[in-house]
Amino acid sequence: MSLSEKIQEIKSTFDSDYKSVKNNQLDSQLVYNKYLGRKGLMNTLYPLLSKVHVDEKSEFGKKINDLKNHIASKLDDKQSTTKSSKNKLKVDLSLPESYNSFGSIHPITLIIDEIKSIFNRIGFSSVYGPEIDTDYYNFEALNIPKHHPARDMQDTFYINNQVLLRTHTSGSQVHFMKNNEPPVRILSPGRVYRNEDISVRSYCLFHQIEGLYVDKNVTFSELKGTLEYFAKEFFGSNVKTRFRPSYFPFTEPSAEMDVYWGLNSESDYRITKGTGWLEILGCGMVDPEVFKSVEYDSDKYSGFAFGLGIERIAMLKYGIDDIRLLYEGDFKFLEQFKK
Amino acid sequence: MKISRNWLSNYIESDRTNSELVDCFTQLGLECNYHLINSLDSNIVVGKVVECIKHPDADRLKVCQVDIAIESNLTIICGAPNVKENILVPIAKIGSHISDFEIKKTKIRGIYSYGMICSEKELGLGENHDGIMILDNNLEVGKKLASELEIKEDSIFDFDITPNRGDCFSHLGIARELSIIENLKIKKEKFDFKKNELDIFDYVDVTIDDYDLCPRYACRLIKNVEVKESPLWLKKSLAAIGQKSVNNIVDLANYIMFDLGQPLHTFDYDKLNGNKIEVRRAYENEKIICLNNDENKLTSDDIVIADNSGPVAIAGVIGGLESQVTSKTTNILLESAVFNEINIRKTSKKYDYAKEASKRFERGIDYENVIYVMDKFTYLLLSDCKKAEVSFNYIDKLKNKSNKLIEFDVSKCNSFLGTALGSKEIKSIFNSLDIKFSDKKDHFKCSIPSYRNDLEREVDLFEEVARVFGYDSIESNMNFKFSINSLIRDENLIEDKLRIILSNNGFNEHYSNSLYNKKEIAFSNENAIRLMNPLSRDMEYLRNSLVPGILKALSFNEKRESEFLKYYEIGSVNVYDKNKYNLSKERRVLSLGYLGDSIKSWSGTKPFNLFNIKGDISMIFHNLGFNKISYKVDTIDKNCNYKISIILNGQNIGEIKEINDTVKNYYDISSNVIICNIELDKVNVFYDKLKISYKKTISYPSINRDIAILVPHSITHDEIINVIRQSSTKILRDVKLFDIYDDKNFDKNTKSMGYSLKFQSPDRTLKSSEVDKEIKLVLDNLLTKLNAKQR
Repeated sequence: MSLSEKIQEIKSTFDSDYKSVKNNQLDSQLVYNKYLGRKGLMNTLYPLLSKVHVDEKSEFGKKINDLKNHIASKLDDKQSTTKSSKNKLKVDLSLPESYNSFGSIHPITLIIDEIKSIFNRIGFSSVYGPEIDTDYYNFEALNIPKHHPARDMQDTFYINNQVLLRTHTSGSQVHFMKNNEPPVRILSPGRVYRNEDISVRSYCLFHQIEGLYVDKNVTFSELKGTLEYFAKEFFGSNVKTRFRPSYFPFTEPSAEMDVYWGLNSESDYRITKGTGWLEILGCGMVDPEVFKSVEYDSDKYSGFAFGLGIERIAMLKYGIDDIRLLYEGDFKFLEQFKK
Repeated sequence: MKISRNWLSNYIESDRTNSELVDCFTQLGLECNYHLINSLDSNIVVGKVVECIKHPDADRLKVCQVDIAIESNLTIICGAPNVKENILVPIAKIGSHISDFEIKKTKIRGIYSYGMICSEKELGLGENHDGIMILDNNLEVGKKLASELEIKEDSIFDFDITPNRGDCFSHLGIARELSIIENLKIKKEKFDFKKNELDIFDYVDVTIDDYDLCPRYACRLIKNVEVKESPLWLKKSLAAIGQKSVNNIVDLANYIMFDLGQPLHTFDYDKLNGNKIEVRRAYENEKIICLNNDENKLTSDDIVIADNSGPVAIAGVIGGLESQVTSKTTNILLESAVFNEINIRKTSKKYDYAKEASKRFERGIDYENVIYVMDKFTYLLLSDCKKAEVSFNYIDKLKNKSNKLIEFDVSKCNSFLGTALGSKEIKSIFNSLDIKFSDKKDHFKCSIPSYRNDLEREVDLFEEVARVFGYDSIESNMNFKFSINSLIRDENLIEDKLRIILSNNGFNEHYSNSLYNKKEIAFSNENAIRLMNPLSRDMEYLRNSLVPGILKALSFNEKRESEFLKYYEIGSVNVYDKNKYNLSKERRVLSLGYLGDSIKSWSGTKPFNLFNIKGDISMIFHNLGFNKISYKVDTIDKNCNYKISIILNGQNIGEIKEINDTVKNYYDISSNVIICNIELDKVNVFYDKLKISYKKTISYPSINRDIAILVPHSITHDEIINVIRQSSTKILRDVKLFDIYDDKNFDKNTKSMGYSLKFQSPDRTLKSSEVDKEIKLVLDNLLTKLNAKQR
């Protein structure tokens, strides 16, 4: 068969195939492969081209190209029309998913994770302390001796005279420092207990995150910088913060950080006691007495510590007005939290 | 603690507004807020009811004509039962404000009312709201009520004083802080008064057993006092800060305490037995009847003031009934003393008298102020009881004590705070705090005022410097530096990962109350930790399992018509262990809870069974990177219908159980509940060791063959798989169960199992005949080892 006849034959078989494609009897991709694929019919023509007379080469070359373009353009048309016809999915997409498997992550976890990740970025590692601890770790080593008025600040559940449910995560500081030498840069999240009646505002347990940084030449100014960085990351870069003196037996100087919450609603007045400022965390420079308990040399090292109440922050962030909702396990409540 | 701004102005004046003061105090570490009292609108005047007739259209209302000394009388409608003619009453004129609302001309049942006659309560002058306030007849009609009643507006600041600042528990103390804010000195008057020819030593002698218990004890005799109603200024001062008036002696002692921070005690001198007063530890079981009629048995931790017959007061905490000042008292012994903080605290805790006096003793009071306080009391008493006679001398027993000295280094302070303060700035801060210092360049020896019991170390002075300089004025350093040595691996990383896996697969995370009751801890057979002082019997134990917490949540939701739920909690459980320092072994656990046995949807109801749970558990472990876990039927416990152990690398790491009716009844659950517990500490050990090592993928074609066998019911899938795997050479790639079939036509002990076997060689294309040989071997082995026949 001459090249000319061969070209003609391919054209006529394509035209009949193309009819079938138009009638949806043949898939356009299959036809494309048959003619224009790597092992397609068009490619069988090129070896024959080398055998024709040099004068006729350009003429045949053009014919082959024309046929190739003819096939490609026809199929292209077809492919775009088939696509739009295939999209005519005849279902009611507004129907709900048949079996959804949406889960949720508890708001307390969401807050802990967010805080952890903010501090992880500046080198704070997470460690964990025990929920049941001794008077020594929870109080004595933190410069809260027996019969200290500061004990009034924390009503404690006791297991016996020496063993108790921790009232704060600050005991984790002591555990960690006793077992590790400076530099120390840790976060310690966990559950703590207070012997307080359950109400809208308070619960017998809650969660805290403790932070601690000890090294040579750590300053109060760094404490401020670190917590301002946190506030900016957590509440947004426009947040206004203030530090004011406070008292904790295990830090000196002690401070509390407030963020400016505003006074835009009645609830803002209530939660900020009309000041617009909201207390977010307690902090301070580690008291030399605490260093003494863990046998760190306070002439050589200094450090800062801070503690945040997770429930309080979760309630603020999500507008939760009753702390008990957090432990009730109501699906209608839980399903709203995910990220 | 309440502070009156008018009272404060005796010491120091301030031009700042109340809210500015709140800010300034807060910045100094004294958290507070304020409210106004006695703020009577100047449009409230004295009026006289000149006519009072019944309202024509209302039985309970009266139409009054009120004279307020203007051209014509006002018509005012009043509903109070006690309104009548010829009485003086407070009138709120139109435009005046009562609490939050404005008085306007209003039409009441057809008659206009031009003001309001007010009750005590409406004016904020008392609690009486039964009728209108009837004023004394000697007041002048038409005058402003506030000036006629000599009511002065005041601002009350309510302070939340931190336990270290005992010195701030008084108007004087707050005035000292205000003097820092205003940079002014406070006015502290001296009190001189007439003294009489009375020698106290003729009346009383004091011995102190132990100066550690009582570092200073002073007393003075005042004779011929008249116990009576307090003068108005005293009543008003106490009322402003919310204190009730008792009599002039008690009120004055109270006033001095709120004024100067020193609690005083007054004894009826004539009720004291003998003239010896002793300050000592109580004897064990010694008894005293206190002011509140309680009889208390004392212990040696309590400090008592005793006369010849025994204790007459528990020092610093409460007085004795016997020696209290009554209306018949004429001679009083005034005590001003300092007691040991810890003893006072133990005692006040024990008898639960957390009163104003003990609160101040516990936090430490000003040792040097003891005599000044006594003088001010005496002076004020004399101005009220002109006939009283005062001993010219007083008893003052004390252990000599000098002011504390603290070394202070400027550069050390700066490097601690991150500041660059000069000596000059530091000096001015110390001046404002009344801290004296020896003037050496950059290094001071500081003498601490006697009222600052909280300042003991150099670091305490750093805090004072920071506080006065202003925390907000200290620059924030955000050049974070940290050492690689401080970085540690998070050992609970697996929990973060699990939460994502679970919550992405339809589980809801729950946090439950970890305090359980006795029934709930019996759910696990491990010994739970019991609290000595639980909030209630319902929360007496610390949890030893997460399951009851999950069951409670499932029950809560079932009652609210949830049909199918998947819950989980990750948390600590504690079990008693006498060998641990904290008597407990804490471990981390993941518990899953399923409520319901089918999932309903518009597209049909899907059953939910044990194999779905197995699917979840495999999914969890697969996502953690574990390839194979296995399950073993376990013996049941009292809580379940069945129990299955979950096994990872040969170790039991958890269990699945279906909760039985007894437990479900306790929690009032009716749907099916399946629980799964996974011991995270055990899983974590394997998780740490997990390594992924890549195996080369095979590109040669594979051959699939299906076989169907009839096997006895007792043979498990695992057994069949094992035989198949053992029978074949290494070209067997994969075996999958594709069908289980039971047919009446089979022998009743057999089932049909269909397996799909995939053969593939890593280095060549397999021939069909090779695979045939393999299949024959597999079937032969199934027959001989498991009696499984090909179908």
